[in-house]
Amino acid sequence: MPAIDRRSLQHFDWLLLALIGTVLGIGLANLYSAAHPGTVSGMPSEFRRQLLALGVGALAGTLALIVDYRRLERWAPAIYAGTLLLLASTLIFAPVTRGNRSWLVYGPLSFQPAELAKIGLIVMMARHFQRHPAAEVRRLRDLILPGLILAGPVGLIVLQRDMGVAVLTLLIGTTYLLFVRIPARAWAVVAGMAAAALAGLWTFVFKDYQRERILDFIDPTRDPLASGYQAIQSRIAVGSGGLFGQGYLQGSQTQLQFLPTQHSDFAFSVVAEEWGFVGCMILLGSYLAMLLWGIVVASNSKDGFGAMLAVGVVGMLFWPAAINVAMVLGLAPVIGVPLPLVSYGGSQLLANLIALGLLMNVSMRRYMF
Amino acid sequence: MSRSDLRGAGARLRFLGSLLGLCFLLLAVRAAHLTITDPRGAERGRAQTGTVLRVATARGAIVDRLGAELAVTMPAPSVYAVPSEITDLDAAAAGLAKALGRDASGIRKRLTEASSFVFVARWLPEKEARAVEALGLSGVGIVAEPRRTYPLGEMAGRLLGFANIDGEGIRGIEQGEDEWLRGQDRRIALERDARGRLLAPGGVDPRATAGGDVALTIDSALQAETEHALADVVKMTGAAGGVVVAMDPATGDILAVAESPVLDPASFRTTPYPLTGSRAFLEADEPGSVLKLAVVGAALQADVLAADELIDCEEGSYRVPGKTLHDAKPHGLLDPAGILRVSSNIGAAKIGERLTPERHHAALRALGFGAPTGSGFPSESAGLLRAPEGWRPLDQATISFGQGINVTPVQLAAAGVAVANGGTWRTPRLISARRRPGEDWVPEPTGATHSALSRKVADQLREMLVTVTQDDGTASHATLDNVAVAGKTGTAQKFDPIAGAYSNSDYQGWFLGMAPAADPQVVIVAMIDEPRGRSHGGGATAAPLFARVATAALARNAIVTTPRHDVPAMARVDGSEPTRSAAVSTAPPVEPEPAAAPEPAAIVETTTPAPVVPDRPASGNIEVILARPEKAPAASPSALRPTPEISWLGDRVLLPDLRGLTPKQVKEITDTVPFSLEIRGDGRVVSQVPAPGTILGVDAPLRLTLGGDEG
Repeated sequence: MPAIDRRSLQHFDWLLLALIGTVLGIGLANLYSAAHPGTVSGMPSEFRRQLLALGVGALAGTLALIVDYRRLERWAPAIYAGTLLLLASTLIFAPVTRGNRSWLVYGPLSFQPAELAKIGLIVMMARHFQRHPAAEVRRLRDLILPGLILAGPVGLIVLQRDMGVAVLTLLIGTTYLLFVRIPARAWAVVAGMAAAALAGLWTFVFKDYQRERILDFIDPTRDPLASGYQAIQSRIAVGSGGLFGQGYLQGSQTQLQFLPTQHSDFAFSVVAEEWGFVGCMILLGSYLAMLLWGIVVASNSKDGFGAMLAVGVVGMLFWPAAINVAMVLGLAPVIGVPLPLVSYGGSQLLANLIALGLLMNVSMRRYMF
Repeated sequence: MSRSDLRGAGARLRFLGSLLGLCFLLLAVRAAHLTITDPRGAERGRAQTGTVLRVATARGAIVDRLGAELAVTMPAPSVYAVPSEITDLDAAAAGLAKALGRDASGIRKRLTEASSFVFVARWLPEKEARAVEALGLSGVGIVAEPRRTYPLGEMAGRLLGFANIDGEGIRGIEQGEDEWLRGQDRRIALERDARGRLLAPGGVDPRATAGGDVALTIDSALQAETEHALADVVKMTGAAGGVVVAMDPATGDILAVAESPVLDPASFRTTPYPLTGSRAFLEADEPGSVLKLAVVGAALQADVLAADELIDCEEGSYRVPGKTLHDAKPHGLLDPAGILRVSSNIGAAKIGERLTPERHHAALRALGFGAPTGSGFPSESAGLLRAPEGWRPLDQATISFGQGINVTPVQLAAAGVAVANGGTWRTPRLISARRRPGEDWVPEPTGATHSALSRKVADQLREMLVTVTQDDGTASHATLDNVAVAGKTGTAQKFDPIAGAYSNSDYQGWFLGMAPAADPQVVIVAMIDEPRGRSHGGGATAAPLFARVATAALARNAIVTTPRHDVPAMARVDGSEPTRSAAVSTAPPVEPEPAAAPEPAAIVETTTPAPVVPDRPASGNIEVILARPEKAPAASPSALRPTPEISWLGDRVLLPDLRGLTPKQVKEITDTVPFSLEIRGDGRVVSQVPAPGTILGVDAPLRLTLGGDEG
């Protein structure tokens, strides 16, 4: 089978490409404003680095759509193992930054293997549910194998002490539970175990600052100058937006740099302040359209692997997006989750573009049988 | 693999889709609440940015018509403190006192003020700022504040006005153009960051915009020469002060506004505010006999007076209801030119009688009296011109010769512009161009114009006014070599508000003149306030001042001339003989001054004995113009320009107009100032780079092109 043929090109998914382009465009324009220091004229360095990452990501995403995704089913274990190895290497090689070991650093380049691990996870999950269709999973013990697949990356990320990403990866894995047929009675057992796990996490795993963050989320004003600061500033920035916003590059909270991480985790607050509610709706609408289209791609897929791969990509984008926006809007605690395709950060951009390449891959080969 | 693998997955996928949709809907509702319906975010945001420090951005520059800088803004360091952040008050106060060389208790007081932000010291020398920085005190910082500086010091100071320490213009052009010059203030957040530190006030607010620049119509070279001449005459005559306004009659441009006493804009904090105004625009006085030209113009325009008719001046005594008018010298029959030449009050009053008060009033309004001129100078005076309904015959008579009407020097100059340019009154123009930051200069449109006199009347009036400067006229001291001058003198007794009567000791000498009379290139009003010499009339004080300024002004248009007379000895307080200044060294010897006799009470005019009947036609003396502006001065046959004086501005030099000078004269100048001179050609200077009025360092390159066949 040729890597790419005329027929699949005929079915190239232009709508998906347009939606990705829209979100990326908004993200870049917003980063330019958020990283604009005001003092320096010309391009902010974050903006230049993001452009570079976008180039690399576009290349990787293109590679991901050229190879027929059904080959990936065979390569899945290798990909999964490779990403786990990369993840494990951080425990040895990564320096401790901000309390965790999640970044591999080489000269001026730094990379977060946890992002790529998500790709390994969804490819391996798709392979598993291709062989053991979710519709036939009726007993909890059928979840042991996918549970182990999930436990690999999640466990390594927990060992890196990067709780935000660990929780996120766990959530991506649980997306597949929607498709299994396990009776409600069994879920009660799962819920009980989850509660126990949470209590265990709170007591034994979470560090003080993480507990602080969760308490701050419940009441952000309890320490307005410490960890609740970002949450408060974020709400002020969003609240300063109004219906149409203060104008591009004109947000006073943004440009006076009240929010220290506005170009990364709090990028959405910049959108809200400078473009207002209308801008928020355009970005969220583009996002939702992209994710819903991913679900359409899944339901049009001719095989289980393609469908589950598409579902995985949707989950991989949905969870961080929802949590990030909820965090900016004060609906979730401040955990370091970037907004995919919009926040500053090369690793997430690269991983998410590869994931969208896979989605495109499934979409353009829907008639190949 | 088959479709059956996906059994039921369709429904689950739709469920997943709905779940996603629901999540996003929830986020959208929350976003709508925060951005639109919940006002708290915006309020707190405003409160937060409301606690920012506002620092004025760089105020725009004021330059002259050639681009020479008159007012510029330079950043200067200021020390501020956030009292609540200061950890060791005594140490901080002691350290600051030492670094700034000031009293510690005063600084300590500032540091304990119940304010979130105080300036400790503003506009410091770089060295002191660095000393404060080196202290490394917590709660004390340095911020660059724009500081207004006036590179030419007191030159045109009253016109420019000044901006206060917060960068608001509060006098003169600085006030009138404040909105344009100011721009948007820079805001620096003083909020704490997540670590509880104050955010460093180094960030720049993108909404801050620098102010725009303004180019005046002032020619700073002429301004400097005018101020020099004014200061000289004020000193010689022992006067309290004076004003000179020079305008271009073709455009209404105000070319120079000199005032004495001068005001250094930098000293605004030590000068009482009422003493910082510009008399030229803000103070209206009685102009005396200068106004006779207005009544003659009005009567000619109304066709109730013929240029050649004879009017009986009643041998010096004329009764109007309520008062007997007198002339300084008795006159018989005089034509209108003669009335102006000898400045007969009775003649002017009798001409005024021919006009209805309404008509007379309307003619004065058409010449711009009784209303602000609209020059753009802030709070310009309207002068005083009463409504014609209340004019008694005596009022109309006195208004005819300039009493009971108050005018500003600028109003008078604007009226002169109408006489000079063939009858068109033009709004005096102060701004020649504007420039937004980073953009090009945009010329300022000229102001409104209207017809005040017909061309025929304006030309007739100028012909008559030329006779005033003839040897037997009141303004013989206004004459120039080879250039005919039209003008009118005036001497006003100052009204003493305490005595409630005209003073017998305090006078104002006025002169309104224009040259060359046939096609005036410049209109000048000169006023000398309270001259103390024996001769205190406008003819002895203001007229020679006019001649000096006119000489400088005409040089701009390559018309080479010199004053014929200096201030006469009778007008001087030191009793010295008039000496030729460098500026008039090549003029013919001084002629005997006209006698300036003490005047009868109430009506005062400096006159010279004049024949009852004009002994020569009023016209025929006008067409003496040496060179047209477009021609090189080298073409002038005889006149040798005096070597211009060098005006020093600190260690720099205001480059004079060198055009028309001989190489020998150029050498005289370069002997004083070591310009690196480059000369091309032979003959006299035809052109110079840089242009006249440029401010240069002493070793700046100066390129002169010589031409013509004279050496």
